[in-house]
Amino acid sequence: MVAIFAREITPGLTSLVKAIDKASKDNSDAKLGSFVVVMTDDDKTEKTLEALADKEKIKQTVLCIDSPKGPEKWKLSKDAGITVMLYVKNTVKENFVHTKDIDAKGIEAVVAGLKSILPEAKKDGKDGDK
Amino acid sequence: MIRILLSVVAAGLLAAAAQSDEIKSGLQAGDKVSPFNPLNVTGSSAGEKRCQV
Repeated sequence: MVAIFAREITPGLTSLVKAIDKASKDNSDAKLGSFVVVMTDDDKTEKTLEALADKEKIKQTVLCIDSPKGPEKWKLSKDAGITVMLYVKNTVKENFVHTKDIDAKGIEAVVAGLKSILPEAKKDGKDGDK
Repeated sequence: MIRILLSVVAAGLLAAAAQSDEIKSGLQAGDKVSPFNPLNVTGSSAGEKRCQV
C-alpha cells in the first residue's frame, strides 16, 4: 500500500500521484493499493481534487481530504510538505519526506521503493495490499 | 583576519545546517499503521469519511 500525505496540491504531487496510479494499475495483480490525503481546511480542495482526478485520469489511487493536523497516530510533521509511506501487512517499509514539493528524482525514489513492498504484496492473498 | 575566518566558518556551518534539514515525518520503517477516516473525494466511497488503510 502507498500512503501519500500532502499539505497542498502541487505540480510535484500531481506527478507523483500519476506515477503511483500507474504503478497501482500495472501491479493490480499484486493488489497494490494507494491513497493520497491532502491535509487542509480549504473548502476548494474537494473540487480541485475531483478536477485533478478527471484531468489526469486517476482511477486506482483514492484521493482524500483530512484536517490540517492529519491523523495523529501517523506522526506527520507540520514542516513536511509531502510524506510518503510504503507499507505491507500494516507495517511500514519505506518513508520519504519532502519539505516542500517533490521533484522527478524524489518520485523516482518512491517508485523504486515500491520493490520493497511488491514481492510481499504478491505473496499475500486478498489482503496483499494492506 | 580573524573576523574573516570566523565569517567563513560561520557561513560553512550555516550551509551544512541547511543541507541537513532533513525532517522526520510520518511512521518509520517497522511501525504499524493505524486506521483513520478521511473524506474520500474519489473512489468507491466518494463523499464518505472512510478508512483507506
